[in-house]
Amino acid sequence: MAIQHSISLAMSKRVDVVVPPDKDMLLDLFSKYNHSLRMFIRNTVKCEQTADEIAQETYVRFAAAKNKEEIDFPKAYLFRTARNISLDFLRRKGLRVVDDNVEVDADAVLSSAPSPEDDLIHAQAKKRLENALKELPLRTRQVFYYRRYEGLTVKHVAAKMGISERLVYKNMEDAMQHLAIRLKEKS
Amino acid sequence: MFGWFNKKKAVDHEAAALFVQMSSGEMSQENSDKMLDWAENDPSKLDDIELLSEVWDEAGSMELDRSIFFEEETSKDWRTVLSSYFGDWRYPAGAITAMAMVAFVFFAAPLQTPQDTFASYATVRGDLESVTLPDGSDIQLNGMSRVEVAYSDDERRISMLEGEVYYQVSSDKKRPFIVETSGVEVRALGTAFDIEASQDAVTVIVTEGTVSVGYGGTVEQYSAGNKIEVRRDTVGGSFKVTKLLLADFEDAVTWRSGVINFSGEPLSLALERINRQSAKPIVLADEELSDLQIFGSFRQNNITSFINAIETLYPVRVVESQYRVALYKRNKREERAGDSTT
Repeated sequence: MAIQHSISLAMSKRVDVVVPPDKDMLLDLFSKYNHSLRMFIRNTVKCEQTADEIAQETYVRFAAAKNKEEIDFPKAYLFRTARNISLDFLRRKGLRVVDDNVEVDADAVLSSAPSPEDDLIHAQAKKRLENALKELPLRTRQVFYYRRYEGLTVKHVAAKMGISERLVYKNMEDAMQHLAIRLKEKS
Repeated sequence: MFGWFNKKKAVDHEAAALFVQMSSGEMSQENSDKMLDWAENDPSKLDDIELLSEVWDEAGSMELDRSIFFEEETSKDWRTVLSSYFGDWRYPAGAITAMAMVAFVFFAAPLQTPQDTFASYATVRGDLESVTLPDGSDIQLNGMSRVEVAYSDDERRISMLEGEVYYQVSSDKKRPFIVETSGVEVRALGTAFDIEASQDAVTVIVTEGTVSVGYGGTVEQYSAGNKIEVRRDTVGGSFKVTKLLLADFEDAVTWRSGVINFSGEPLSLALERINRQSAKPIVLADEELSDLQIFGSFRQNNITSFINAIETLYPVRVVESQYRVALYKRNKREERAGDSTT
């Protein structure tokens, strides 16, 4: 794939790049917005694996930024770079969007055997998520299920449940607000 | 239950609305620009987007029981009984205790009413358990299977909610033994049969005697050696039935002794079976792979050999992570790289 080729090119170039003085700041920003950056890319490319590759390339370009202006507006620059690479990718693919509904958590792709602590943390996180979901009204919960776990489109969920698309959006907002409170509250 | 009435909002509502659009892959150019603007001029909204993305990714990395989304909790629900049974000590503070719980994989929570017998049995991934019911019938549950047993004076009824179960029914002419699952009803007097309730089909294999299989108003009798696959059309609600006479039908239920045989099943179904016993779930990250045909015998306690075989035989890339094994389609470049090394 062309995109991979360009990534490996960029990777090999990275060695020669003059490291900007605030590279640590850039790296921090990149990891701080890691999840939203990938969501942002996925919105355009609709494929998690490709989105992860584009996120990598975004970082490579980001780390190589030398232009003063770029560094003065690093957050916007980060997202703009991601958008440009995503659009380039689509253009190169002849505008054929791959619809890949299978969700794979790229964080988890770092391979390692689970430790007892990991198992425990996972079990607790799961229980917390389950409890949080059970607090939602049944319909909100189902909308969330179809969107998140079956990857159905908003239109599809609306048709399946016999509700308006507007209401699907509303329920998703409610669900996300609630989960944000429950999963991010200090326990 | 009170959490829902909590008026506190975790994030800015404009950020939440934009996130929902973005997660649907339907963010407009205008909102995409808006996000870039927030990035510089209103970073707290960008932080909100990041927080929601984290929540989204976290929720997506969990394997949840589907029932969480489709059943209102009631105090009579057996799952509630189970959680009160397990809730307090299943995930206690000590990691060692938690690991010990992993070994405790089978649970049974009988609920007694004065005359009738009612009980639920469920297994988790990697489990294989036998239960003798009050009438002497034996049921054997594969991993990730659930049944609810309701015996009364005139029938022995089992609701099979998911998974695969082998039934050895003791004879009782007055009380038929009935198993129902996804709109299919299997009736027996005294016999043995296997039922697999997979994502899109119910498969019955008769190993002894005769059973009748009913679906959508049709009832037919089948004797030992028959395999009946009933697939429900998700759109029309009609049933599509495939019948097969098996030459060596004991081979079809070898999961009971820890062996899984595949004779051309699509990878998606093969994974469903493997996943009942696999330590970590194996997921298809690429839909294109789902129709690959799988042949061979695998020991259920050695899932690695299954994964290795798939990786060797097919253009599949295996990515193992902490909680699951993902199968990707290998791309051309990787295939060439693979060829040159072999």
